[in-house]
Amino acid sequence: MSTAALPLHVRDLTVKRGARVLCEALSFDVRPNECWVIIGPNGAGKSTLLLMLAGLLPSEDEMPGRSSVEWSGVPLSSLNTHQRARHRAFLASQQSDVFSATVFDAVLTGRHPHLAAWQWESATDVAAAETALARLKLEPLAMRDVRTLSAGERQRVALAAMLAQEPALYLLDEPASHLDPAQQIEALDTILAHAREHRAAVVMVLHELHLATRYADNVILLGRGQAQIGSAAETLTAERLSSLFNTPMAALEGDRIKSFAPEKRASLF
Amino acid sequence: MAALALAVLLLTLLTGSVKVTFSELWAGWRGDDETTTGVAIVLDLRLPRALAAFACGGLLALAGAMMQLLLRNPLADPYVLGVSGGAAVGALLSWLIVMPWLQTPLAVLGALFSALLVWFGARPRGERGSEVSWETGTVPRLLLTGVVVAAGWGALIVLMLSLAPDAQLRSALTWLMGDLSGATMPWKALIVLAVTLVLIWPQARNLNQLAFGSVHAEALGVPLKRTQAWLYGLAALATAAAVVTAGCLPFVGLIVPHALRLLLGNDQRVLLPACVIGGGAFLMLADTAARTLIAPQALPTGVLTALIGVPVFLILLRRA
Repeated sequence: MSTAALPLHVRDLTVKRGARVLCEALSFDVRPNECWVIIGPNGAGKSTLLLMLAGLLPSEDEMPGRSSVEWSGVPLSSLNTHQRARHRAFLASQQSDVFSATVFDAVLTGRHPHLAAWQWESATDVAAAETALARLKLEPLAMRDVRTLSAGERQRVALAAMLAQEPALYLLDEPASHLDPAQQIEALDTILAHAREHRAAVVMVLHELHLATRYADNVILLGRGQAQIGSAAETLTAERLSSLFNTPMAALEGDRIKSFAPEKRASLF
Repeated sequence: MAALALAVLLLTLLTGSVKVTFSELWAGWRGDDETTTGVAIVLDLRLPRALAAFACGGLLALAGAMMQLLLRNPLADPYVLGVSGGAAVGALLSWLIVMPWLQTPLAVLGALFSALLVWFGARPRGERGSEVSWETGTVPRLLLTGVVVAAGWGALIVLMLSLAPDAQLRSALTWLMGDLSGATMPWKALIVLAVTLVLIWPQARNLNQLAFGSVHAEALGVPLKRTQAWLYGLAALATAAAVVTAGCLPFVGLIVPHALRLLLGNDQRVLLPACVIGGGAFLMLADTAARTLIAPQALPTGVLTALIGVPVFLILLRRA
């Protein structure tokens, strides 16, 4: 497959935070319709990696000819901020609102990349925002002030804004945080269905292992200065996760669910 | 809204210790009658003063709205954060070294430097991605930085005033408190007001994204550094132009954008032009009140805006 058909193509990326190298020589290809999940302990560099993939944190070697990240065959370094926003959507791990705004206006911000400098939102943009609200079942909240929402509601509003953005690549930092178990499934099902309809790809950081086994096609285990990349079946094993989190982990399996959790330790007393 | 501002302008022109009626004013304006003293007072004294009030009100409200977006904090205001103080020190310096032609450049430099101090002081050392937490946890830090910067400028101002000749002390003090009594036709301020609005308005939709956070804005394609640099430079320029014209008028940049946001919402495409008109109208009214409340004595205009601004600020702080 040529890189032009790949929403995300990564070669020899070094994940760095300040002077600290968190992971070196990271290479992988994300195909359309795929869902990738990044898993790892706190401070392993998951968010940093996601910001680099999003072009929001410069990769050290981001210069012409040496770019290690390509979107649809185009080196990240040759795209300006506006062009980047038309390709990928990014969900930050927290939302913070200091100014009042309606939920509808917050979702409508997703249309910003599709508007020319002098353009006002058209009926098409309003329709896209309304569809996004409907898909995440947020219509009853449409006129609420975002500052009055609960964290879980605010998270769904941010997800709706990404749907309105219609990107080829979704990058999500802990999309399930603040959501109750039913909402986690509801929201992620919606995002992934929407992504597949548009042949888009999803890369997300998750701490919920049951969501990783449920949604991931491929997984990046990031920790201890290295990355293990592979299919969900290969990487999501009790053995690998135990060594990644440095704590004994066991598989929990039901008929239609698989997850992993730390084992209960023998009492010290 | 523009009609409202015109009505306020008319009210301002007709209010004062010398009574002038609208028909007299109209006749005088058209030059039909021989000009009466009343009309002369209106055209030579009240009109420049009203226009100066309009320009300064618009400039400060615009500067306040821009600083609130830049710092992502609804409590930001050029006076509270010491930017007006920086401009005042620059302007006073030109007066002290007897180089009045340096007044505007020095005031702009003072405002820029002051805004820079607040920007770096309020922004903790941190890496990308930690913005979200600093933006939410930064209210006390921002205000502390502003208070300290303003106190520093205050000390410099006192130092300069103690070096200045006694004869000019009173006028300098009144000017510092914000005073429009000596206003001549404020061409400079009106031009800066127009230029600032024309330069920032095309950025308004980008600014709307910025209101939701810097990471959010950049992810949606807003050129972050460039937009912040525009906001920063234009807010400092607008503040300096207002200070050179009328001294430090407290809290205009806080009250006006806040009231307009409650009325019109937070779409900068509407809010920024509304700040110009609303800020102008507000300061014209405040100035009219200042010169008529205890007539024939006139209050410095800044005393009045401070008396309104302090309770508003405290209520907002309580809610933040």
